[in-house]
Amino acid sequence: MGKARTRDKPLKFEQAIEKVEAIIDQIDSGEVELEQCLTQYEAGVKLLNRCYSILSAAERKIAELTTDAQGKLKIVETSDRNDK
Amino acid sequence: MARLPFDSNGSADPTARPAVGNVARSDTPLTVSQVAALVRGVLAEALPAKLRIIGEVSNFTARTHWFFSLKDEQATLRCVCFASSAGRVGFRLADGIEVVATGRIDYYDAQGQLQLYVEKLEPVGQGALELRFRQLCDELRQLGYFDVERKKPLPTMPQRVAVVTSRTGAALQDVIHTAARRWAGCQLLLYDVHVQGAAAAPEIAAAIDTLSQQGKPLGIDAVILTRGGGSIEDLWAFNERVVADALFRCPLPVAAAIGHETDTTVAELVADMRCATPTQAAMTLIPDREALEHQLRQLSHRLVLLMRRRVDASRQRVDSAARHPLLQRPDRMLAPLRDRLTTLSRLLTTGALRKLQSSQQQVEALTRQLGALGPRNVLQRGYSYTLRPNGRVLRQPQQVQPGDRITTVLAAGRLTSRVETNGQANATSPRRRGKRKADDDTQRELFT
Repeated sequence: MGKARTRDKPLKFEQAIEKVEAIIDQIDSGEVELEQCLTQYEAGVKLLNRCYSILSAAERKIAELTTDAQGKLKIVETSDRNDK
Repeated sequence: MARLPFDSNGSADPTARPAVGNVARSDTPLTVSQVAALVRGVLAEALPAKLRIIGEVSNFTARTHWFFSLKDEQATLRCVCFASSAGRVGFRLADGIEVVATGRIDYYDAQGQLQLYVEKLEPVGQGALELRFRQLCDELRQLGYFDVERKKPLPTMPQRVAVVTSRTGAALQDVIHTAARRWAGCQLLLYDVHVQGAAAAPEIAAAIDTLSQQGKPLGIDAVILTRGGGSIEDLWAFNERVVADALFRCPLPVAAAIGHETDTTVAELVADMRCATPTQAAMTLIPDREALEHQLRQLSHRLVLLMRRRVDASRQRVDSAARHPLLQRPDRMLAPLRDRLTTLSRLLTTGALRKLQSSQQQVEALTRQLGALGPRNVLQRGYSYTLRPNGRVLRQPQQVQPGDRITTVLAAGRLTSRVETNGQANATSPRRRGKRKADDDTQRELFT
């Protein structure tokens, strides 16, 4: 059943990357106060860590989509199938 | 009773088909219906039940049934294709198209002409499927199915991708292997469908429609529609209108890779991304972990570097501020103030002195002025005053009597005199006395 990927997530990968890039631009511009820079920097590090953790997500096995008698789409985890 | 122009005994049915041999031998006239029946019989015996005839289509009209002629340089043949057969043709007939028509030739009694009753039509030159493909492409292009503007961007980090293909096909394995090699964090969901045969197109269309309606709540971000190589007939399901319609409606981005790189199907043209092979579809849709990690490393490096640079710059500012002479020798900050104070105090002193001097001078001047008015100075100018014998100032002659000794005070000393007369006769009136009193007062002021 579709149990995977439940807790999601303040920012998606690409959004997080975009945010980090924006932070870098801000720090680079020199227009932001040092204190704010430090806050931004911390946020950037957190975002990058989040991206790393997304990338290193555990391997997810292929599952199968089927429809039941009512036409409702379901995900069936195929633990017994070995798609080699 | 009029005699019939033919021998009516025996064969009373005018439509009854006379034997060909009998007709040849008999002079008996035939009814038109008999001739028609005769012709049909001859045709049925002489011609095969099915003929394949090649010719160019002309005078094409499509009502419920299709009517047209097949012709070549010398001959024309009327053709009719009933609606049931026309529905199976798969391409649109038009004048000028060269076709192979399969059917039977029969005689149409009512119009007295030979007709080909068409059961199957195939275009010549380009295959029927090819023509059908081209015509469907034209139609869908006009409807905007291929417009670039309506193509949806593929997600950069799909979490779940539905793979619509056959469980047994090689395409699925290619997708699985490629996905695993790139990023295992993306889950593939197989939607098993037939990818060839009559069931394929409706199954594929239904799968796409189901994903359109229910895919998003299941966290499906994108769809791969794929199939391995095959003949045009094998791939045909992906050229069917139902599949194109389903793809056109699908709100999820779809990457399609059907057949070999050289094959093009309608499904691929309608899909948001057309990929050459199943492997390429997986590569297009599933991010490469290594490349992304490289990107992340670069971003981390830049972030740290810039932050360090920023902190260094701030530290330098603090350092240079700390090195400023004023902060190094704070007493110097007071020097200008001290100078100012000194100047002011000097100005104050000199000012005060000057004021004092001028005041002194003023006092001296006034003293001198006052001195000039004093009795001694008056005496110096030659005035004198006289004292009565009692030592008091003599102001009126009546205050002394003749014989009285009076003392006159001069600037340089005194002299004593004796009064001879006091001028009694010149006594003044009371009014004059008032005046005299005023004079006395003036005189007194002189001495006080």
